Amino acid sequence: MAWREKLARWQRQLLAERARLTGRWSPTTGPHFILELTSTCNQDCHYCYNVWKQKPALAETVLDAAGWCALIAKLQAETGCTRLTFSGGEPLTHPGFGEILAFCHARGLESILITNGGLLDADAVAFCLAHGVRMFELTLLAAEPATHDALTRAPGSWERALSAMLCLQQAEAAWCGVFVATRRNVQQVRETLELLIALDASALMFNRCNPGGAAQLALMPTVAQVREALAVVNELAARYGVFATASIPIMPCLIETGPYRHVHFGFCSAGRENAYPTLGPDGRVRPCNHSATVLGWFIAAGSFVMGRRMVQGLVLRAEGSSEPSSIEAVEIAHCGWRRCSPDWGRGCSSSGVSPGSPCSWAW
Amino acid sequence: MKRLMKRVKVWGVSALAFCVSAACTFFGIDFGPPTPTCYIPPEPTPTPEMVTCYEPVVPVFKATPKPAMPGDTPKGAPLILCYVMPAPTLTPTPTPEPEGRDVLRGRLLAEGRFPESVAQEL
Repeated sequence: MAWREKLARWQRQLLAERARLTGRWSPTTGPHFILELTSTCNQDCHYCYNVWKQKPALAETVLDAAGWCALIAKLQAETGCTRLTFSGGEPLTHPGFGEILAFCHARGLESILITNGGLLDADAVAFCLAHGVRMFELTLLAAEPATHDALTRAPGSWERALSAMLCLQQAEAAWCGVFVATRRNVQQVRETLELLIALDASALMFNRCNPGGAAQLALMPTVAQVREALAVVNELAARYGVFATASIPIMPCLIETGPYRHVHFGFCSAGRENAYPTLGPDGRVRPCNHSATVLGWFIAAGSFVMGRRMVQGLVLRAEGSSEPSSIEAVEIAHCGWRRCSPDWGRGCSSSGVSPGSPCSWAW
Repeated sequence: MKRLMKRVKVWGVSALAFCVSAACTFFGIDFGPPTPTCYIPPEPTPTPEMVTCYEPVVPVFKATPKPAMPGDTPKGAPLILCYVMPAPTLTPTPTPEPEGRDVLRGRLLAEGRFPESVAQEL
């Protein structure tokens, strides 16, 4: 079977190389980058996965608007990317957010905005929509303020999030409502998702808490709790015809996913064609937003070359660096496990190497 | 000259990709999309019980010991490499009757589930 896999891999590499040379990227396969514009946030969530919560050195400096614009121009020129996702921290706290977004729009880039909604008023929504934001992602953690605000450690954040969602509804924007399931709020999944649906969320995302960043293992919901919550997500997705996804890997060896036919299950995409390499606040590149592995420091002033295999997310070579980094090798080495079945994707090995956390596959 | 080289390269890569695809077709390999983004669960089968084993790789990373949690195996117990995949016990949940979002919104408003500032705007 090895030669078959080798052949398949070779074919994928060739197709990806052709895509790189011709500049014709499949809209479904990327390249897609997440830009963590800033490490600053107006919340202090218990479950936050930002890598600098454990490794502050990863966010010692933050690029200003000019730095980000130069980096984005370079990314676009060298990879032909057409979509970017803005994240943080809270991206709207970046003083140059408007300038960066306008720059992207002027270059024909579409974007996705991941925000807690605290600063997203009607004017901000209108500006974003006029400047190429095609999707907003907002988190609602509970059906009542006490639980939500306790998890975000930001009084008033529940009401602000709902107000932002109302603005999106009134602007008829496409937005995804995210529920992060922790042991403290998973019991409210039905009531919370109902609020999101009632406010015309275009999609629902059910993410189990992922250890890493500030999130500790004690926050993890149990397998039984996630199983019950998934049944609710499945039911609501079917009843209201809304797209629902579980993006943080839930391995089928832990939870039989078959019955949840209306929920799409995602797996780790690092090292795949649909990978989303992440650029941190200072411009350093990592395999994804959950991983603290630094692949290269591609500050705008420096020159960098994305290796040809970057197309597939396998190898990213920084000019001047001695060795290319193999994302796939890193992922496997960190986890210590092969993926369980050829039919399954990989679990999140980044969370598996977080201090105090076992491999999430054993969760 | 540079553009010509690029065109030659594109042609070469395309030709190679075609050859590999032809070879795959010949050998009956259907790749489909490179990698699915989502796990597509199989149909539940009546298989009674199946034991599947993970295949551990050469340890290159020493895992952090897992903190004890309720229901865990005792500390010091050997790492379990196999798990028992239970027979599918759950059947796909029946698709409920579709309900409009307006109906839901009305119900939630009536129940006072939205904060006052939002309820006033809805």
